[in-house]
Amino acid sequence: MTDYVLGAVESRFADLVWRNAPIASRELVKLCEQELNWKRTTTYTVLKKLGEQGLFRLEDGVVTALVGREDYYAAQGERFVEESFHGSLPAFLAAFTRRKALTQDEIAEIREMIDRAEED
Amino acid sequence: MDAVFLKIVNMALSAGWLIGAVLILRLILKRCNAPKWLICGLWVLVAVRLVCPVSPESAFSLVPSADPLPPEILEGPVEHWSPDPAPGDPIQGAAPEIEDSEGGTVSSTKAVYLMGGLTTLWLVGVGVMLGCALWSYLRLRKQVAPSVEEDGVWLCDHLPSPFILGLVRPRIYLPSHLTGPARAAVVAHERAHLARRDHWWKPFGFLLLTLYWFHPLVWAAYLLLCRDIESACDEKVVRDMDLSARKDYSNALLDLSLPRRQITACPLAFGEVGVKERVKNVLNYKKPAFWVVLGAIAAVVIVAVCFLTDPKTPDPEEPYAITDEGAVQWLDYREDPAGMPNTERRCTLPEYPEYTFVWTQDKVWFENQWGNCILLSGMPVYSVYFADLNGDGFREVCANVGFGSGMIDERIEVCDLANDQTNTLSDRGKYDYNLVLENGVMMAQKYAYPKHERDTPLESGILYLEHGTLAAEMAEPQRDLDVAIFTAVRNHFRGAFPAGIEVESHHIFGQMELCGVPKEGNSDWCGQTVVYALVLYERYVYGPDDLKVAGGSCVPTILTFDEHTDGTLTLAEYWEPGDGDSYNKDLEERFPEEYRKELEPENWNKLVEILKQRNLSRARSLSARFYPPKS
Repeated sequence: MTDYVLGAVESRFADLVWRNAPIASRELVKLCEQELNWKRTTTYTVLKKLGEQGLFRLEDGVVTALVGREDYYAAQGERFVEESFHGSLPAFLAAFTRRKALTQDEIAEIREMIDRAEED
Repeated sequence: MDAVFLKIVNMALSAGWLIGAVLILRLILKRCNAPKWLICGLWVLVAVRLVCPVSPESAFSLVPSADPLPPEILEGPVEHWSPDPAPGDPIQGAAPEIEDSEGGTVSSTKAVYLMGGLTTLWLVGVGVMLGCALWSYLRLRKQVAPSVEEDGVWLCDHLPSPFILGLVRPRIYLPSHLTGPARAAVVAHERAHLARRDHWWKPFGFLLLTLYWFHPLVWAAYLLLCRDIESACDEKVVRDMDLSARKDYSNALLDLSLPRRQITACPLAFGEVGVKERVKNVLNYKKPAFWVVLGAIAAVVIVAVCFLTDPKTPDPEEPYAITDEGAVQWLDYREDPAGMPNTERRCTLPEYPEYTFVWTQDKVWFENQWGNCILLSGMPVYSVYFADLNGDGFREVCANVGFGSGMIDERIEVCDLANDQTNTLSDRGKYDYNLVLENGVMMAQKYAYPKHERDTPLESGILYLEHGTLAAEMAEPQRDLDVAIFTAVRNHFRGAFPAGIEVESHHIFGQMELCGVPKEGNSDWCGQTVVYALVLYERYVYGPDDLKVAGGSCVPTILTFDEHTDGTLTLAEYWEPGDGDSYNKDLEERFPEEYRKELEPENWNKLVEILKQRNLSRARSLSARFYPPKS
């Protein structure tokens, strides 16, 4: 897993891949043309770049995701908390809830998460 | 292509003055808070000057010269238009070798090669500029390929700055992380660029820069143009904003300013140039006062008139009508070649009623109703005189002509219009010749090459054209007394009588020897001989049966010669009594009494008869050489 941060446009492309992986490269090209209006060469260029970052792989004409979407964003979150709150999740939550109170649903969700974590 | 490059250089030189004026005016206008779009207008003037090969002329022009480098420096060796001189026996005096056809053209060839090299260098520079622009454009295109459209703008990852790309269908590209008020500010700015059509002006300016890449002022103009475009854009956006909106805008400027300066042709990068100043202008923006706008417009118009127009070329002058008879000077720049005008000069002569003679620095020609005909050319033509050198009643065009600005050779050329013939007096590398008019006689001065290093001529002699050959009668020192007298008399009467075989006879009454000690600095002078003689000079022409006298003179004469150690004699004084009343008085003053007695009428007639016989027989023997008997 690299520390690479996807830009806004790359994120859209990555979402496309994650939604459809594994996918033949030709199909991906068609998809990108429809959704993003990209030429064939552009799609391959971006794919190659993200491949070098360890996110996707193109082998035998098939694109697979080496890192899943959840894993990627989890790593991003981790990094953010690490950089901004010295890795302290409570501190992050405190800051998060400072300006906006948690809704009932959110509280319930979090409680469930804590319970699950305790069990592991 | 050489001519194109030369024109470009000329335009660059005159544009330089305009750019200078624009730079000054620009500072003033900025100080006075003039509208920024007007300052951009100044650059329009510069563009006009750089694009238009011809400018209107006006009296208000402050540009020093329309064509600082004349197109003539592109011309190589100039053809000599006159036909070859007719072959003829050289009669007397030195007739130096005719110049070879390649003479005097070395330096002008070098100038042509230099121009060719510079033109190639310029083209290479243009190619390099265009290549760089094309390469950077393609690179950018590739960089923004992975972009996504949103609300009429294109978002792209990893862009250092927002910019506009594309001429026909321009697109605004933004860094994908821009949001909120910063994005709004940027989009407003870039839209203002599109509304002002800056995505055309800037590449156009860059195109001019590729043509004038060698001119530092044009580079300065381009860089300042880029800055002024951005400032004008800021002004347009910020004109109707309140202070808080303007603060947001400046923040966006600061956030997006590029760390280093870049010179680019196509994209109008947001933070490209002069961020500090732009922030200042945005925060301090005040609408310009009405009279400031008016004054600024007036200033721009004045600059346009003074620097977009070329100085007036003076109208060609009226031809100078030469009315004097005999040998006359038309123009002579020999002593002041730097004072030669760049314009044409014209004159007319009474004996050629339909011709107008025209002189320029490198050509002399005549014009008549049927057209022009070049008489002679050189680099430059120093002087032109009109003198009758062959006694046919029509004056020839005599010119002192240089090659290589006189460094290579200086010669005399004579165009005989009546006989359609041109002759040259030259000796490239050995002697230089100069024309002077002395006492109404056309003379040639002979200098050792190169003339510009000499103070005095080696010799000078009377110029004449006889039997198709041009020569100068150099006063060569004579050994024999009779020959010395003969030469002195001929030189004295040269040009005084119509053409014909010239002969001379003299009767010496007596002579005096004055010995002397060589004076200081004159180590070869050793005395003088004074000769008292009766001189008969005549010119013979063919009559119906025999030779007859066309003109002549019979005069008592005193000739004083300097003697030299090598036995040669040079004329020191040629004395004749005056006309009319002073004739007898002068004779009494200088002619010794015993010789004056021999001038009494009976003796005089006897003497003259003898001299005439001698002349006639001399003329007869000479005539076979000059005028072959009609068969």
